[in-house]
Amino acid sequence: MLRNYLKIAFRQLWRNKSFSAINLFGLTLGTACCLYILLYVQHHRSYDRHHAGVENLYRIISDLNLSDDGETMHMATCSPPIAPAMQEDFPEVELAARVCSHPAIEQNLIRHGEKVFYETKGYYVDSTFFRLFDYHFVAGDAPHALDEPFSAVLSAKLARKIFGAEAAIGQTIAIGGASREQDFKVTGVYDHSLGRSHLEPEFFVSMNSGGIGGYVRNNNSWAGNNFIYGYVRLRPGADPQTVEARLPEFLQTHGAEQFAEINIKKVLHLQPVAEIHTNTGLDADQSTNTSSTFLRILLLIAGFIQLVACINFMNLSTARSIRRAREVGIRKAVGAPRAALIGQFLGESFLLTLLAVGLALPLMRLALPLVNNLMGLPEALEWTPGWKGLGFALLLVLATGLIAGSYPAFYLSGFRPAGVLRGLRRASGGSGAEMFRKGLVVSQFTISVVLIIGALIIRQQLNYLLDKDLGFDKEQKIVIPFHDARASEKLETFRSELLRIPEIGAATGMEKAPGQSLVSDIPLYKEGGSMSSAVDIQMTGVDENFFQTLQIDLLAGRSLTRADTAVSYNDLLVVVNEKALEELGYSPEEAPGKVLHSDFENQHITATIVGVMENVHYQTLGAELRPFMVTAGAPADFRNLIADVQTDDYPVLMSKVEALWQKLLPDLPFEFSFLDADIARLYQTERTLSRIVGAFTLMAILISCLGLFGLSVFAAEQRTKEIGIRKVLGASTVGIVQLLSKDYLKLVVLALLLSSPLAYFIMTKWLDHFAYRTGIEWWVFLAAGLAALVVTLLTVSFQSLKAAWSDPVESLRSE
Amino acid sequence: MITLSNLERFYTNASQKTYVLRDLSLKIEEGEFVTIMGPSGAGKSTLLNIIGMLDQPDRGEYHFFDEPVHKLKEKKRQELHKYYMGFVFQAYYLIDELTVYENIETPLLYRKVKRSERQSRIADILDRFQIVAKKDLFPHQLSGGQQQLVGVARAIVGNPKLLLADEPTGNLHSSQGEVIMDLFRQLHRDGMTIVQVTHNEKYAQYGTRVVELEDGFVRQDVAL
Ligand SMILES: Nc1ncnc2c1ncn2[C@@H]1O[C@H](COP(=O)(O)OP(=O)(O)O)[C@@H](O)[C@H]1O
Ligand SMILES: [Mg+2]
Repeated sequence: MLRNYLKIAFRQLWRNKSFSAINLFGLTLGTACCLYILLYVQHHRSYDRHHAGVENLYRIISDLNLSDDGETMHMATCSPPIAPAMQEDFPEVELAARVCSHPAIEQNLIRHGEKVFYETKGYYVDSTFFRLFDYHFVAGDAPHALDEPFSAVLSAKLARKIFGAEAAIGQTIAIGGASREQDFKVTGVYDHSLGRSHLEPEFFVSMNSGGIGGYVRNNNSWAGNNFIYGYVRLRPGADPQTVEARLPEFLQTHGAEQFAEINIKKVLHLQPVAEIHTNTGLDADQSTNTSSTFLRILLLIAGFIQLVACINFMNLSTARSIRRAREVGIRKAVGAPRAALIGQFLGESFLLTLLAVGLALPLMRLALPLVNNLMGLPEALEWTPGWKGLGFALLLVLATGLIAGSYPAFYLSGFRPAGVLRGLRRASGGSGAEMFRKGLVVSQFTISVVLIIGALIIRQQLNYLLDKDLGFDKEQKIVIPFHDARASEKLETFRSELLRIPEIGAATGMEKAPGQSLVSDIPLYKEGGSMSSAVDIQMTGVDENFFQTLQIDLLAGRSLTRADTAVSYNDLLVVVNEKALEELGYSPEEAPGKVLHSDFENQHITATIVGVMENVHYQTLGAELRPFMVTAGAPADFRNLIADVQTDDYPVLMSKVEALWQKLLPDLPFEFSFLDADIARLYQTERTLSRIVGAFTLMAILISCLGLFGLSVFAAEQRTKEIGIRKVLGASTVGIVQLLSKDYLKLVVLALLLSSPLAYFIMTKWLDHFAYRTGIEWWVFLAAGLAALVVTLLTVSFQSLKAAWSDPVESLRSE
Repeated sequence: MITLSNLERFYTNASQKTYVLRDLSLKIEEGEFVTIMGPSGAGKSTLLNIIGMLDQPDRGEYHFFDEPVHKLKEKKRQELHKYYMGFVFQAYYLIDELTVYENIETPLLYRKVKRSERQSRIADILDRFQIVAKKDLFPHQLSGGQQQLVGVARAIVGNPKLLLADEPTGNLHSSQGEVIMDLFRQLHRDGMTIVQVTHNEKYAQYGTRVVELEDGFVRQDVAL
C-alpha cells in the first residue's frame, strides 16, 4: 500500500512539474529559513546548560535602592564577601565562587616575549570556579588549576595566539591590569566544546593574585562595591526560594551597620545560571546576552515563513483538486476507504516536505557562512547535526507535512464518488473551496505585509537611534584607548604632541568615553538634605578640553579648568546635566555654586556645581537618560583620548598618530576606533533584528508570490474559454488583464486592511521597549501596501498577459 | 440479492425539487444478468450508483441480502461496496498515473490482499484478457477497447458478487464492444450477477432480463 502511495506521489510530482517546483522551492526556502532560525535560537538557549548540576547553580544578583524615592537598580552583581559568606552560613549552599574584572579596565594587556596585545574578557576567579562551571580542559587539571596564586587558565584560542603550536602549560605570561604588569603561570587550557557560557571568557587568573583580586579577597563591604559576580551551587533538592527568603536576615547579620550608615536598600536574589544568557534586564552585566523576547520574535518569524510555504501547498493542491477529484472518485469506486485517501494525500505532502528538508539541509549548510555574515554574528554558528538536530528536522517534516497536507487531504478525500464522476467540474470547484483559497491568500499576504511594515519600522527606529542628536558631536572623532596606568601616565604628553598634527583640531582625555558603560555613581543631596533624599548621579572624570572637543553646550556656569582637578576625591568640582538638576530641584541659573553632599562608608563627599550642560546621551538610547555629571579628573585615571580630526586621508593621519604613540609608548600596542562606530555598536541587537526581519520579509514575499503565481496560472487555465469568448466579443488586452488581476488586488487590499492594525499593535509594543523611539508614521503602511500591490500585480499580470495575448480561436477550439 | 422498495432520489435546485427516481421498486436475484435501458436522463446511472452504494436514496429501502443498506453507517456501507461490488464505467476511469498492472492492483490493495496472492490473481486476469504484453503501459498508451478491458479486469479482480456496468460500451466501436459483451456473458456463465446500462438493443440480448426506466419509474420489466 505504502509503495503504491509513494509511487503515485512520485509520479504526481513528476507529472506536474511546475506545481511541484513551486511547492518544493517555497518549502525548501521556508524550511532553510526556519532551520537557520531554530539553529540560532538553539545556540542562544544552549548557553550554560552543560555544567553538571546547573539546575542548582545560581548567580547572586542585587536590587539596589540608593534613596527613598529613587528607582530600584537591578544589578547582575553583588558585594565581595557575599558569595563566600553564603557558603559558610547556609547549609543548602554547597559551593560558591566569585568572578570579577577591574571595573575601570575594558581590556588587559597580554605580553609574552615579543608578543604584546590587548585581550578582553579576562576574569579573576576564586579557585572553586572550575568546580562550579564545567570547561573542557585541553591541558591541565581543572579542579586545581587555580589553587596557586598567579595561575592563569587560557582559552585554546588565546593560547594559540600567544604560543602558536608550543605547549602552553608551565609557560609564563605577563598580564597588565590597572597598574603594572604581573607574571602568571599557565596552568590550564580549555575550549568551548562542552558548550558556551555567558562569561564568554578568554582567560581566568586566580583571585589570590593581588591587584583587584587581592582587593576583593580583603574587602568587607556588604552594601557597596557591587561589582562582583557571585555564584553559588545549592545542594540537590534545596529550594532556592527558602534560601532567598533568608537572605535579608543574612545581610542584616553581617552588614546592618553599613546599611544604616549609607542608607542603601539592598535585596538579593538568586538567578538561575542557565537563564542568564537570555535575560537582558540587568545592569552591570558583562556578558552580551540575547533577550528571550528577541528569540521569541525570531521563532514567530520562522513559524510565519513556514506557514506561508505551507499555505502555498494547500492553495495549489486545492486549486488542482479538479484534476485530483477524478482520481478520488475512481479510487472510491474501486473500494478506497476515506482513511486510505487521506493517507495518500498526506503521504504526498510528506514526501514533498521530506524532499524540501532534504534540500534545505545542505542548502543551509552551504549558505551558513554567508547568512552568519549577513546577520552580523560575532561568533559563527556551526551546524553539527547530532541526533537531536536530525530529530528536529524530522519533527519539522512531520509538522510541515501535516499542516501543508491536511487541508487537501481532508478536502479531497471528502468528494462523493457519484458526484465527482458525473460532472467533474461541478463537483469540485465549490464556492467553499474558493473562499478557503482566498482566505489562505489573504492570510499569506497579511503575514507578508506585517513583516514589511515591521521591517520598515525597525529600520526607522535603528536610524532614529543612530541619527538622534546626542547632545555632543560624534562625527569625525577618533577614540584612542589607554588601557592601563602606565599608558595613562603619558596621556597628557601624547595629547599635547597630538595637537601639533595639523589635522587634529582638539583632543581630550577622559575616564569613560561616550558609549562605554559608566561604572561610577554617587548619591548626592542638597544642602540641608540627607542621604534619603539623595539623587544618584553617574559620573566620569574628564579634562578641561572635554566640552570643546565634543562640542557640548553649557547652559549656565563655566566649563572645567585644569585647576579644578580634584585635590581629593572627597571634594569634587562638577558640571551636571539638566536631568540631574531637575531631580535635585534646581534651575540651571541658580545651580552654579551650589554644593551637593554624600555620606558614604564613613566618608563625607562634597560636589560643587560649577556649570550646567545640556542633556548629553552618554549611554545607550535604549535606557532612559539618567542624572550625569563630569568632574575634572586626574589624567592618571584617564583611559581614553578623543580627538577631533579633519582629514580626507585617514590612513596617512593614523600612521602619524601611531608613530607618535610608538615614540612615547614603544612597548604597548596602539589601538583606535571611531566614536560614531563605537556608539553604533550599542545597537547591535537592533541591527541584527533589522537584518533578520528584512531578509526574512523578502523570503516571505518571495514564497507568497510563488504561490500567487501558481494560483494565477491555474485561474487563467480555468478561464481560457471565458477569455476566448471575451476576446471574440472585442475585449482589449488591458480589459482582460484587469479582469484577471482584479480578484487578487481585492485580496491584497483586504490583507492590507487586516495587517495594518496588527502590525501597528505589534510594533508599538516593540517600540515601547525603547526609552527613545521613533513615531509610527502613516506612510509606512502606505509604502508597505504599495509594495505588496506592485509585487502582486507583477506576479499575476505575467500570467494574465499571457492569457490575454493568446489566440482566442485556439482556446475555444480546444474546449 | 437486491431488494429496492419505494426508492426516491431528487435534487434541489433553486428550492425546486427535481425527481430523478420516484417510488422505484425492483428485485434482483443472484445470478441474474439485468440490462437497464431508457432515454438519457431517465435515472439509470443514479439507480446504478445507488445499487453500487456510491450514492444514497433520499427515501425508500434498500436491502442487500439481509443488510438494510439504507440504515447502515457510511463505514459499513463502504465495506459492503468494497467486498461485493465491481464497477465498470463508460469513460473507463483508469488512473492516469498508474500502469495497467497497477490499475488492476488498486482494488486488491484496498482489500488488503497479500502480495503473492495479488500477483497471481493479476497474472491470471491479464492472461485471460490477453493483455499481458500491455501490463507496464500507462492508460494513455492504450486504445479505448483495451482501456475498457483493463476497466473490466479491475472491476472483477477482487472477485465481487455483483458487477455494475454503466454504458461500458458507450465509447467503443462495435467490434470492441462485442469483446466486452462476450466477456460479460462468460462472467455471467461463471456465476457473476451483472447489472448493466446500455442503449444498445443488441447488447441487451446478452442478458436475462431488461428493465426499462422512464422519468424515474420502471416502465417495463421483461425476462428474456
Ligand atoms: N448531482 C446532481 N445534481 C443535480 N442533478 C443531477 C445530479 N445527478 C444527476 N442529476 C440529474 O438527474 C437526472 C438523471 O441522471 P442520470 O441518472 O445520470 O440519468 P441517465 O443515466 O439515465 O442518463 C438527470 O436529469 C441529471 O441531470
Ligand atoms: Mg447515465
